[in-house]
Amino acid sequence: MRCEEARKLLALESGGDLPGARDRALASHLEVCRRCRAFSEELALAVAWMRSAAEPVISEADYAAMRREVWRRIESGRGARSSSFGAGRLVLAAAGLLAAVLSLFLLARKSPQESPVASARPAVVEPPPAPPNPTVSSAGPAPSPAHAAEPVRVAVSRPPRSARRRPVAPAGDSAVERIEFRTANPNVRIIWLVRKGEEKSSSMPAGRTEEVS
Amino acid sequence: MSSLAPALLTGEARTGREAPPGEGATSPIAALVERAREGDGRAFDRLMVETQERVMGLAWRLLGSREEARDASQEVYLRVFRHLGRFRAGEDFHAWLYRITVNVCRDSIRRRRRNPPAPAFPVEPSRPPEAEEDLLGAERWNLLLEALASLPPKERAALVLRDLEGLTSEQVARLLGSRAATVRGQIASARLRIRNFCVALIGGREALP
Repeated sequence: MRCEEARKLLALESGGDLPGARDRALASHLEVCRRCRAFSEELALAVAWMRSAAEPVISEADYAAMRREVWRRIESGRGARSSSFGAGRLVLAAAGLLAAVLSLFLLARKSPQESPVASARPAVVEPPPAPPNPTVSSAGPAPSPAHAAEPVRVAVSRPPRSARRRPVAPAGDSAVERIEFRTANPNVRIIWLVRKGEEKSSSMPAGRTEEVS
Repeated sequence: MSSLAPALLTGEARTGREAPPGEGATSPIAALVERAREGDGRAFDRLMVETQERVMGLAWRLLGSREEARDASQEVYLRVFRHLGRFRAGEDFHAWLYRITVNVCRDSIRRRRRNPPAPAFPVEPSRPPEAEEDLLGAERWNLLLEALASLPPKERAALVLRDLEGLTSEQVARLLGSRAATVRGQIASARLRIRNFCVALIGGREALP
């Protein structure tokens, strides 16, 4: 056995971590190697010193401060949990409210087309099929909210859905629906007058743009 | 050696070595644990009193500073408080506490590596030394901390748990999540470094205290 290997084994042996067979081989080496015997003694001394010095000096005041802090953190944790729970409930309530408002808004936008009792409530006007303002989408039934033109609700009575779906307006119905758009420019409004009962494709409604001073 | 170690051995013995089965469940600690689990704050406080010396001592040996040891001990008991409900009756509370302490200290060492602390103030004893014996004890303790600080963290943890806390290599390996052979290698390397530290100390100073 070489001394280098013997010293690694000695480090294990000093703590009783060496298997029996290796221990015997090490003992044989130590019998013939004086330097490794000295190394072994130093190692044993170091481990004994380390163990003797292993008790920290901690005062009762330190322990008491530690326990106090633990209780303080437990209590503040409880408070934080309850307040965060309260905050969570608030956030949930706000989210619920927002969802309700959004769904009401969407419902209101769809209602002129889908509600069978459209005449019973204020109608949301539809955008014109070919508005003069290029920023207003002509593909969809409603203008994009991102765009400047924004439909304004006007309280006019509309015929029932079945009547509106007819391609041709009933004879003698001369009521006119006023559709008003606001644009990005607050001084410019687009007003459309559409005969009731007319489908978008059946006739081009008359429109005018006016400037508001 | 800490008195926590026999408790750990007892925990292992319940699976067939020394102590009779179920001993842990009837010990005073087990009774405190049971009461604390039921929400008895006094029992939890008493549990801290009964185990604080072991927890803070181990944390101090692993971390090397009193401040860090105190912070780590607080964190240990907070985790105990939070997870006491998960602790199964009849399980070895000391082994569980030991595991939490080692984990908290490892987290602390990782944090320290990420955010190295500002240069520390000189080590001060927790109470003013009143007698020569106290002075010697404080000096010995500071030297030990110095020696342990010269070790890589993994070797330090293995050495502290094996030689200062008296766990077996297998128990240390379980606690550190390593193989026993790896842990034995780390312990051997650490002992050699401690021996070198002592030899240098004897060369530089008069003798080991």
